[in-house]
Amino acid sequence: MGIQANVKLRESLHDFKHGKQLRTRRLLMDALTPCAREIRLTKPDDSEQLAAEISTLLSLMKNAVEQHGEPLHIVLGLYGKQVKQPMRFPFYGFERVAGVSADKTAILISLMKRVQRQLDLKETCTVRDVFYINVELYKNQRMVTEWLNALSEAFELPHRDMLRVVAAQKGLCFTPIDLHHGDSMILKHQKSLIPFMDINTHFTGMWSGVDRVVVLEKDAVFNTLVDSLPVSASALIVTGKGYPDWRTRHFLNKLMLSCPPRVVFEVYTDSDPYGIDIALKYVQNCEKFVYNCPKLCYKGVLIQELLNDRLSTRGLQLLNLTIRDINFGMRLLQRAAGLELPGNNKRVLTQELQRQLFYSKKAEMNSVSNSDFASYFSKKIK
Amino acid sequence: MSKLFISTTNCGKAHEADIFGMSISNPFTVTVSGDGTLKLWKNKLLDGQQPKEHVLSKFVHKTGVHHVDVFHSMERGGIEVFLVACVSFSGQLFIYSVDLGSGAFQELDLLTKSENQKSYWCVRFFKSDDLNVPHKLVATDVKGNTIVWNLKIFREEGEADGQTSEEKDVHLVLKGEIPSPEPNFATCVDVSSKGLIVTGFQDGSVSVSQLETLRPIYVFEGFGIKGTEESSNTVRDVKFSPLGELLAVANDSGSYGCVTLYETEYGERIGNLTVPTHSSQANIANFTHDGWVFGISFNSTGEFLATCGYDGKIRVWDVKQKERVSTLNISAGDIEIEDDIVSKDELGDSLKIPPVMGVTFINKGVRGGVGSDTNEGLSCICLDRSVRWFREAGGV
Repeated sequence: MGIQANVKLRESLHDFKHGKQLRTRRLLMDALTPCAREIRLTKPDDSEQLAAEISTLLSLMKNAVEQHGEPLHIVLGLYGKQVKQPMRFPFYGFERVAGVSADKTAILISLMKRVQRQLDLKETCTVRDVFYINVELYKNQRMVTEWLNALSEAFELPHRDMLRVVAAQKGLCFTPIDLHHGDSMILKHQKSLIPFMDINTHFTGMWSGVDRVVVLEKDAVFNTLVDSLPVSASALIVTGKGYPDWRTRHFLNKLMLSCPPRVVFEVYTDSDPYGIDIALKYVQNCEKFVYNCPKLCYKGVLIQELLNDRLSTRGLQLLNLTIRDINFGMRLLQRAAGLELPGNNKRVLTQELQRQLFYSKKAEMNSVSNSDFASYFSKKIK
Repeated sequence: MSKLFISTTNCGKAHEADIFGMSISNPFTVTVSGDGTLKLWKNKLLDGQQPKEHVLSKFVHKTGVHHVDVFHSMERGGIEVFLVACVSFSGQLFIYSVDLGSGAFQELDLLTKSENQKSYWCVRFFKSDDLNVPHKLVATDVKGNTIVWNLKIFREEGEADGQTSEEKDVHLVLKGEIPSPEPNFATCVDVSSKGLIVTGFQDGSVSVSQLETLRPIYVFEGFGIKGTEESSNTVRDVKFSPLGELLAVANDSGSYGCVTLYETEYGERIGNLTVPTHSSQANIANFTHDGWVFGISFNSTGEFLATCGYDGKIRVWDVKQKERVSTLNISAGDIEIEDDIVSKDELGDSLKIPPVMGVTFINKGVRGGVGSDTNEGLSCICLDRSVRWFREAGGV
């Protein structure tokens, strides 16, 4: 009790009413506004020191609230490059509660704690793992991803996976050689999930055993090719299962940089506008270079191959393009026409898209060569 | 009775990419391609002149161009009008006026803002021979609507007396729209001299409407052989005969192509144009081509119909007998200039027998050279990026 007596208390509204006189409304507002602690998340001097940076930030926040009783004013990113709206926590001010709500701050801080732990333990976990730890707070996985992205942007990390919370793997790969990277490896002759990679990952192995890297839209076709021994003996096969996730694209980029130049990169998708879009997503997307694989060539399945091939596939049904497909194709064609694509890709993709639209037909890649993709593929690479 | 057509001129590598559309007029054969250009090939060539040396070229749109039609008319006061309308893969409709003297293109901005927002697919002009009936421009959109404009050549003065001045001012007046009952990709359209308008759809149906009221009068459905392949019967081309008595419809039947004839008075089906499928006489199925039929064209008298298809053939039919009178087999190797032969595309796909993407009859006296004044001809575009011209043999 005695100690408390020495503490100089801040004036309350009551004091102002009855004791101190403040002449203007402005002065009153200033006097009542608490002294906030601005915490700014910016690029650490050394990205290796990310864990230390996060723990400093967390302790600053803790001190501000616990020791000094100051509300937090959290800003992500530098001046002029703010990633998110600044957050006030606990909320203070005279206007009605506006801006970012308190649970967003809770999400951010909780994620920072999680990331700090992962970095300390040097372990990697998935977004899904994080999400299930506190479903009530995060509400959905997208929220976790969104705030991880925000963190990554605020710290200006070259790669979000440096936070050691990564998206769950979607893509699959099959390699004819053992691929070493860091301390681990992808075993040959078995289907594996695309491994976690960081910026320094480099794949090494007996590259002489690989002639080509084949990217497929569908995992059904992936399985067919993997089971076809003549094909899988010398081909590294990758699928992103439909629209590829970032990791699969990153993996291809790494492969492209790791393997000798003679290895060819090919992509096969459904013969419809979405297939073309998926191929484009691998070859070039507007994101950072680490997600692009410009060496990749679009090879099919081409609509005219399905047409010319019809003697061997009697009864093959080409489906009509729906109006949605047509509109999507038209927009995609406009987008593709404005892109600079390496090699023959632009010409081939544009031509293919034009033909699909003109014929107004589409087909699935599984149906080629009498539903035998492996034999189609063998013929194609001859 | 059979007809024989002989090649007069051809031009390989006419475009940088696939050629999707063609149309013919007196001065020019017009083609459009996936490379985004519109080309006007001069018809009257002297012996030894190469088509490539006499072509007007205009870049239209980077996404490529697929349908084209030409309007050529000698109007009151000796004013000559030459318009080209084409549609790009982005769904935009472009209209150019071409000065026949200088060969200069002038892009006309005839559509209103809201009309420009539609996604067009097929376009067709209709030239009226009756002074009281305005010319028409007809276009289909991706959603299946058919849009009709009156094409006016002269500036209109007062509305009251309907007086028109002699001043040339090409403009469009929206006449109306034939809506599609349900969203259905409208692939092709044609207008008859008897005042009918026909639209073909992706799902195989064909709708015939009155041009004056824009009211539908017939809907034809279900062509070709039913069975496993019935779901694929996209209509690829529709054409009225020159006098408007007949309607020819080209549609898929699975991977084959069919052409069906209808008479337009009562909408009765007259029959199919078929080749024997199993022996020289026996027909099991009614196919016109062993591949989709991309184009059909009546000759000026309506006696003959030319069809072309993915099988790399052009067939000429006697309409009355519904008998085939000629077959032209196209081969990539028959391009005159060897350097221009495209027997393989960039992906190594063979184009030795190139699919024929469009065909049109050429009236007498349109092309230059021996025999062209007395005989009709044919012109076609092929997937090996070539344009070819033929003329009927004999009578020279």
